[in-house]
Amino acid sequence: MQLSLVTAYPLTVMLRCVTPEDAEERELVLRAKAGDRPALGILLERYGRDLYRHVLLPRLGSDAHAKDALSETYAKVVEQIGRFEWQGKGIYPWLRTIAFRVAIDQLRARKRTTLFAPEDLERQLEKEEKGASPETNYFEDHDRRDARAVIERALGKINPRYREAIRLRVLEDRPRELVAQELGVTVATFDVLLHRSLTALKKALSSGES
Amino acid sequence: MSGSEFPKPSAKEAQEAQALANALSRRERTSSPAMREDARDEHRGDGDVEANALADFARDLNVAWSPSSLDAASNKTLVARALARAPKKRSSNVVLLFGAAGLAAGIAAAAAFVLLLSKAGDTSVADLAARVPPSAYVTSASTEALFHEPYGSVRSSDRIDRIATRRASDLRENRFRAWGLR
Repeated sequence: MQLSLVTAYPLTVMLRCVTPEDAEERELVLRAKAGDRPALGILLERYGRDLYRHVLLPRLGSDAHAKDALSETYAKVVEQIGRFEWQGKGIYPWLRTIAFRVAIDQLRARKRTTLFAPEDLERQLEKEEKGASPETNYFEDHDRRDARAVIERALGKINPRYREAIRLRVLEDRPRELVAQELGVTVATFDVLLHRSLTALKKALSSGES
Repeated sequence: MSGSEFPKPSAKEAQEAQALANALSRRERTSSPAMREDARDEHRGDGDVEANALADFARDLNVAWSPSSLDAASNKTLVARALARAPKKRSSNVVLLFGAAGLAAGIAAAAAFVLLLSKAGDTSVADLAARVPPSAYVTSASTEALFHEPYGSVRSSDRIDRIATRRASDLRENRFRAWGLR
């Protein structure tokens, strides 16, 4: 086992163990760069599902859009793999940046209000690119927390009762009847309440309040 | 906001709220994200754009809060599709072919170089001839001895062939002598 000095995000310097997994991934990357398609396939299969779940789906909001974006990400990776330079952090940060840019392009092309504004995502990417790129585990946690934080901030801008309706019915996927009961209203009233809640949240997002 | 503070909905709002509830329930009944998309698309025709837009927004919130995984088979398909469009790696046969072509070109270049050197060092026939005393050469003799038949009985081309063969033989002999091979 080798030890290498790396700079972790944002500016902390630490000693990092170079594991056999790193060596294996580096070998796959080198082969992929040399045009070895099965090696590139192994890397994409290894990280594609994380890109879908943590980067694309939360930001694009639908399975179809996220799959389109993942497909586009793969096409770009195939095209640009020759330019990737190994920096001892694995290939995931680089894949994530490509996926992020694809997501930004898709969001820009949309007309409707989205949870993530493309400009915010671009700022986030720029900030990350300025610092030393963190490792895969960092990104997975970070992306999960980041998506939830965006929702929490948006919910913080609306009426607490609306917030609760959205939390129970939409975020926690609880049955409509149970949520109505928990909120002490009829199902018909709850339907109206949820309609008002989502309209208020959407309005808050589109007006930039959140 | 308590129940008493809850403003009574208009008929239009109640209708929209019902449409939203229906859209969300329809999606809930489907198991996979892709089927949820289909459920939304089926609903597109009934004109309730507002309900669908809010249902889409609710779905955005839901997947951002707890995103589902992509199944391995779908991922594999997407990877295979991307790789199929990738340029192929140069095979060893191609490398071998280009290697052989390069080698042949190298040999040709070397041969040309040798030829150039030998040309440069080549001595003209006149120079060679000057080095050999004239008495050492075969003197071109008359070709009369070649023709035993009476003149006119042999075709002209046959006569010329015999003369050319003899002269060529003399020339070859003298070249060998000039080169010191005799």
